[in-house]
Amino acid sequence: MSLPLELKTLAVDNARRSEAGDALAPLRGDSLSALEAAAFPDRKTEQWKYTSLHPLTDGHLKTQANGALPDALPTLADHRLVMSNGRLQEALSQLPEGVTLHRRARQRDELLTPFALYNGAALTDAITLEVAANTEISAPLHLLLHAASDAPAHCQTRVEVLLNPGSKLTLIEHYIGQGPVLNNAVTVIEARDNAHLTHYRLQSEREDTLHISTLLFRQTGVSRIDSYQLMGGNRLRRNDVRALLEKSGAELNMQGVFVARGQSHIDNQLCVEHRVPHCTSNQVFKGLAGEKGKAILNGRIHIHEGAMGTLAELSNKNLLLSPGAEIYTKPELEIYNDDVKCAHGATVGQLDAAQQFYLQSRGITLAEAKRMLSLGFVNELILALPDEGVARWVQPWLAGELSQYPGVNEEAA
Amino acid sequence: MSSQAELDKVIRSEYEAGFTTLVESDTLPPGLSEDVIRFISAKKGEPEWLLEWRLEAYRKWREMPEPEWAHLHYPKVDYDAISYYSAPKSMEDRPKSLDEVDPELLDTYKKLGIPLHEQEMLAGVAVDAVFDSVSIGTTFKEKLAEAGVIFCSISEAVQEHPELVRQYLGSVVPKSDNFFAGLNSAVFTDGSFVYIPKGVRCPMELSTYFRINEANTGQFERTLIVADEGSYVSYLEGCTAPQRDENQLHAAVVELVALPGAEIKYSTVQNWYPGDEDGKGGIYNFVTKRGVAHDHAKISWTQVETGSAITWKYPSVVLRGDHSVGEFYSVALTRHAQQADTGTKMIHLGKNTKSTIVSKGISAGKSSNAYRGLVRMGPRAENARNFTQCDSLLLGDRCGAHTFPYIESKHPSATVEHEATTSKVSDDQLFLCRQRGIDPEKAISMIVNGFCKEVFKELPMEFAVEAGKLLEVSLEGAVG
Amino acid sequence: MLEIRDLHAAVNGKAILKGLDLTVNPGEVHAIMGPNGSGKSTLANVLAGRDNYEITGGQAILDGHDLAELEPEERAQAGLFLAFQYPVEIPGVSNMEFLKAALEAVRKAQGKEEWDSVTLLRKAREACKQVNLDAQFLKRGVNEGFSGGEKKRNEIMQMLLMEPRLALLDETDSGLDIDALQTVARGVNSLRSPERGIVLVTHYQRLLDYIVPDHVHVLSDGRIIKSGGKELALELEQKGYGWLTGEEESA
Repeated sequence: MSLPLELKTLAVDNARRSEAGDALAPLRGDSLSALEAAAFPDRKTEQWKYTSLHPLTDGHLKTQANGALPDALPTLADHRLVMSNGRLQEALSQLPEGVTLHRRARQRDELLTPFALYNGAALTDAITLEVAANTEISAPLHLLLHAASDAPAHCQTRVEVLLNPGSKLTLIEHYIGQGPVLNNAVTVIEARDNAHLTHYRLQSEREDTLHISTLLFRQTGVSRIDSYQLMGGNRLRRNDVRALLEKSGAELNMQGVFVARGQSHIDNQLCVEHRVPHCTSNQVFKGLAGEKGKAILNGRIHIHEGAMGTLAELSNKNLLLSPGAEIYTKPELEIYNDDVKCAHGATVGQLDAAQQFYLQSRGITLAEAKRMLSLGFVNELILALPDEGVARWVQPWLAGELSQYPGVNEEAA
Repeated sequence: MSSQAELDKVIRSEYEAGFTTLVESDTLPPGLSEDVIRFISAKKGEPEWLLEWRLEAYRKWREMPEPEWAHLHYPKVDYDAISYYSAPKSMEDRPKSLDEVDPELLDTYKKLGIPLHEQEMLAGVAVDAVFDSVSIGTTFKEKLAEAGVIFCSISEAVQEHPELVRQYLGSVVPKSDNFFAGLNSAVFTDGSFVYIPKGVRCPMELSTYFRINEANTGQFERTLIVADEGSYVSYLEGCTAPQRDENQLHAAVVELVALPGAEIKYSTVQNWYPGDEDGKGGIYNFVTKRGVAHDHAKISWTQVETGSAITWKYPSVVLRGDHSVGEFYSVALTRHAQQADTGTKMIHLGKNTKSTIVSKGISAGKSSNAYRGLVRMGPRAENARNFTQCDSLLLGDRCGAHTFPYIESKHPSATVEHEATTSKVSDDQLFLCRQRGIDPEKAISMIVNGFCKEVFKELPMEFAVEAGKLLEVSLEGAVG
Repeated sequence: MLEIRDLHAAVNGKAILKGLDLTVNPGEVHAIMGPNGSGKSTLANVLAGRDNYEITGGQAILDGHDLAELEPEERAQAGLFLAFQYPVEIPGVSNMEFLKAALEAVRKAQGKEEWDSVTLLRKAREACKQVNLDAQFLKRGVNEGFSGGEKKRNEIMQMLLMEPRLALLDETDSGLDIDALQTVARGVNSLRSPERGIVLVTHYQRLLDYIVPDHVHVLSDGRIIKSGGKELALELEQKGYGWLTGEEESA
């Protein structure tokens, strides 16, 4: 049996077996029937051209993860919600005033990927956060999403966030985990009129984990979303991000840094859809790959018919740090309207030899020079992070991601 | 085996029924089979190896699925409804004079300033081949022969220079490279062959235009250009005048071989019939064009695409040798219901290789215009460089403009830079022109020509002027 | 030659000009001054026929042509020239190519003899010299990569070549240093002739030190609220617009 078929059979079987509360039953049922009709990707599937699902084994689809949370949890903000292996940890969670929590999620037609359907079909828990209208949540909310297992296993993480009209929220979506666990996550965020979301997505699971996630932004109101995405590599990381601009005047800013070192793999599939006139989107992503790391970005901007007055930009700059590493980037434009201003740019390059030499001539080792220059490459994005808690977190994270890779000999420049 | 014997064999074994008429009419009934290929090969008196080559291509082609694309829409081609061999039309079947030709076509010729006898030629009017081209052709051939340049039809080359053809045919575009190249390999009927000897700079620009009357190259044209070490050639294909053609499907293959230190410059102006406003009757142009550049060699593709209902082509360069250079300059204009999916592939294998891509897409009406490109830096491509600039200009709110640039890098010292923009002709630009007294149509055409300037300057001089005019004519009425 | 009567105009549906009257006779130089937002630039753009600048009432007549009935290029052919406040870039279209197309169209419409390429080039070089613009600018794309001052001088250069019947200069002085300002002024002054009307739209008085107007008008809220001679400009310089409009404004 081919891998896609095998995966699908496993996923469907598993979804049929798993159990959850009544609140999730309709979603699971709908998702299951959609999953049964869906095709899992193989190498010929355009969106999966550079990512193989071979790291997935039976256990990654059959066995429910149940690894323990670490003793010390990272604290990035005063308010924190914790989900471990897809289940809400009430004892560890505390909500800010103005945000309500429900243990449910909805079927969404906008979630199309088989893994998003699998998430819906095999859910054991889910949370929906709702920010009350005209409410500004001043302190950030730290959403800690944990997955762990000693043997191949999976968990389904599902978070939905609704920003009612006039609300404001800072959300830190933070993934941690260890062991050969697949965290198959779905996050849906909807912003209504005059809502403003500052969103962080931190992916810092250990290198032995697997992560497949779907992030859906819906700007159904004249709203603004600023999203900052910081992503480390692991055995298999796949992020599908889809943003729908559905009301004129909506504005989306996405920035991100992704790093694939060692043997790690990271695949970002971004799709921003301008469905109505006069929306603005701006995306800046920077990627680094070293050793045998593989970093992929596909950034699609889709301007629908009639979406006049659109402004859309995407920039993706990448650094290839060593032989053996690979970078694949494809900034796509799909435009069905003449009154638009779109631009995209992509580069793949390396650290400047003259700069490296300059640092070396001042007594800095080559490895340190490379680290410093790599940091310089992403710094404009890092320094612009508005949240203090995240800014504090990011420095050591990045230092770890960019430091000399253990066990790999540095080549002379 | 002589061609007659081959023919006889075919007749006896497979084509007992109905073959007499075949021979008489010199045209095969629609359909494709091994026998059809044997017939074509025999008709052309080809050697055994070439027949085998064709048959192999055909067998592989049969196994290949026809590609499907997300952004091209057209009714499926029935490959069994195509006749794969027909002799040139006899004089009686052709229009007797320009009076019998579609006046719209003639109108366009006039706008492009095409001389009368060339108009007749292009419209397929039955003219005796006594006019200028013969004398041009003769002096031209003498001059080439002096330099040792071979420029002939590929059928002729198969007979006269079999060793060259056998060595290089399919060496750049393998028989089973893709669906359309596979089909072409099986059934190609004619095309051009060029060989430039070592160190020779071809004394003139080679153009298929000179040969327009010589052969009916048909819908499966095959071109092979080999530039030996240190040589140079500039080759021009097509012409600006809209060409009518009975054959809806065109699946040509062009192979370029630039041996060490050689340079090939290949320029195309393509203006095949795009069909009516809904694209009906227009030509489907599925072309495979590729070159291999060896050490220090350079291959440069320049194209101006304004015709065809569907254009599918990605002139590519495999930068195999160290220090080799690949270039791609393209203008693609689509209007009405035209669909163009075009771009290039730059495959960097050697060290210090360099490629430049400049693509300008202009979409009007309800057309669809896509740039699809691949820049691949292989694991040996030390210090390889690519720069890509890819701009789209939109002239109408029902058209589509898409950009799909694939960038793949496996070498840490390789550099790829890609930039793309999409915009419309701004109201401010248009107003500035009008305020200076220039009418809007002229203004649009000026702005579009300016937008394409980087590409036009790569064309040979007279071609560049024609291309500018062509754009102007094509834009007429395209802007509301 | 230019007769504006009770002109009302709207920009994107918003009323800006609210009953403006102005007469320009051949040989005269008029300065239209006024605070920001008074409608100065709107007047220039309405006369030239920019999209979304709509005449909603009244009339503007140039030598018997009702401007409202003419397309922008027809107005240009009728002899109206607008020197833009923000000249737009047209990449890839050379200045020379552009001028050739413009002059061909305009001279033909005006029944003047056409200039051949040699004449055109000679004249264009002269015009460049007059505004201190290197002749290399003729080869470059229209305004492509020009500095602010170069764009303004390029406008004047075009104006010199096109020999308009009525020249409208929209804030041509803004963003110019004193040298460039004098250069531009020299260019404009050289065009002063009994056959030609010139309308300067400006916020500041300083341009008028170099191009001395015959008439000065103050525009406020879409109407001319005061007209006078060149001394009115000096008075405005000293007192600011608040003196006339009754509002606080520091000019």
